[in-house]
Amino acid sequence: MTGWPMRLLSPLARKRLAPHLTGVALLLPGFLLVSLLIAWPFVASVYLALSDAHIRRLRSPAFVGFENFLLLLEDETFWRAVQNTFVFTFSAVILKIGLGLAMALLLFRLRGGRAPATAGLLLPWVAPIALSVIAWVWIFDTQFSPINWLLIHTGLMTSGLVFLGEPTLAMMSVVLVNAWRSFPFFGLMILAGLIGIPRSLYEAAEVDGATGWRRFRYITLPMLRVVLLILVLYSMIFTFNEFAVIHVLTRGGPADATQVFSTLAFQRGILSGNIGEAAAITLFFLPVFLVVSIAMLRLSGKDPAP
Amino acid sequence: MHRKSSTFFTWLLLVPLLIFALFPFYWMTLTALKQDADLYASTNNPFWFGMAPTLDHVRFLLTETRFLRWFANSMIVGLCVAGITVLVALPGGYALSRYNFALSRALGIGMFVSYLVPQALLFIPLSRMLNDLGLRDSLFALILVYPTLTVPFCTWFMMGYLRAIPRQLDEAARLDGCSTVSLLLRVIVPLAKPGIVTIALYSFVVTWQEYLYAITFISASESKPLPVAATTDLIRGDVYFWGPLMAAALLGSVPTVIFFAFLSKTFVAGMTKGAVK
Repeated sequence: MTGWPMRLLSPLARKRLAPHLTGVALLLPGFLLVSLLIAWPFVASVYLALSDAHIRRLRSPAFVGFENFLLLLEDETFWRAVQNTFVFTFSAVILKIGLGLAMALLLFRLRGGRAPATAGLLLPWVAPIALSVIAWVWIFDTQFSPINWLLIHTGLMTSGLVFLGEPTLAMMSVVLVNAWRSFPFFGLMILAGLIGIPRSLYEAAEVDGATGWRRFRYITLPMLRVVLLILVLYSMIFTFNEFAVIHVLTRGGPADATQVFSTLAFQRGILSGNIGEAAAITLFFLPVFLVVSIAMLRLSGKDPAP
Repeated sequence: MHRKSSTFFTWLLLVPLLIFALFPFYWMTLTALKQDADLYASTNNPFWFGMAPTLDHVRFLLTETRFLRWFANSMIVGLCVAGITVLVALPGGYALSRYNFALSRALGIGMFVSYLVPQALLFIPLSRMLNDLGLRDSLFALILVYPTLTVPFCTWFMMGYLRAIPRQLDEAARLDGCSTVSLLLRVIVPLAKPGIVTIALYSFVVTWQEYLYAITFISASESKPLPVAATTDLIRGDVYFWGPLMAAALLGSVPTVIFFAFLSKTFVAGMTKGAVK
């Protein structure tokens, strides 16, 4: 960095500052991008949440204080969305850990064929989510669902299930599809963790006569603790904000049974145009986001795993 | 003997998991290639062809809809974002790997936190900002915004990658009178090529998969990326044309699968590196 501002400094200061300035200059594009398109919109969303901004209103929005937040607190649909978001997030994250652990433990035991099996299992995570969810809409079709065909033709049921039309089933369906999409990532990360566990620990356990379950309980699980914790925290944020799966599968229906924060904000803000209210809804993500990212920062300080 | 039965048992459990993971793709393929009469005949076994397979749905998709345009839109956005990401993340990652002072550390943490910021927190104010900039319904809106999803992770990735390149090489180049820019271009880029390819592929895949920003910022059919177009334009009202829809889902998944196949070696190796030690 040898631009004209440098010439204003004494030669000594120039020498000491130069590498720092170069470092800053190299980081500048990324920093500008992050501040203009992440930090600034974030500030703008606070401003919008305190205003009566609306798509069809041409004048600049007026300050209305906490009115949007107070209206939301009295809104039954909003409370429904709060409840659904938590139910959805917790069930999906638990399911993802279960499936991910199963995937990792099974792949780890394989001697041959690990590469093709991994590739096959990773496919849900690699395909564009909105497109694969359309396939799930079709799989859950009331009339032509292959699951219903199996249930009826094996004599387990006399009539098919209405997967996306019944509240509990609809919630189970969106959870299942969300887990289907992300468990491969969990599996891959846990597999990496498993491979990193020193073999000597298991050999010592074998000498002590520890059985399979005890080995898993007292060696594998504790050694995977950090990986699992990071995965849970990371996926909490993104599951909490899931949009594509729910929007394409149910649009938040039936009767708001799968309505979550992001779908509600989309409907109120983008479809109905009530920007102020939608911004207020998205700000309710903030506590979860802050808690989780602070926890992750502290974790990554301890263990530079991710 | 013990080994053999344990392998059999592993596969016994692995196969249901594989079926769960792969069934939707099988279903896509089957639907895309079935005749309508076969598709909607409740007497036929739905898991295989009841009549001869057909390419009618694929032909319909390619000639009667804007599929190729949407595909091209996704391709343009993906390639631009991959390029921008490399241009921003390579110098940024280099700076974080070489210059260790308070400000660079703070910027590094800022990058890490911004990687965690979910799209759902930002799509409302961003849609307004892009409107004010006159970018509504423009692919430029996506090209501008998508790097926020890729740059933070890729900067961190490059930082880790470049730390493995010895600093002595930098110093030697400096002694030869290299400026920072030519040092990056002549020394770092050639050595970091696999890392650069990785972040470019990663950015392309992330961009191709994105949905919330795309459906929020783009409502004109001719500017839609493929995933948005498939879930809106190909579904008219409540009428689902399952054949062409599944053909679109299948063809639209091909680029990310191909790109990921190239990516997976470095990606998986990067994550399982602990194993080699």
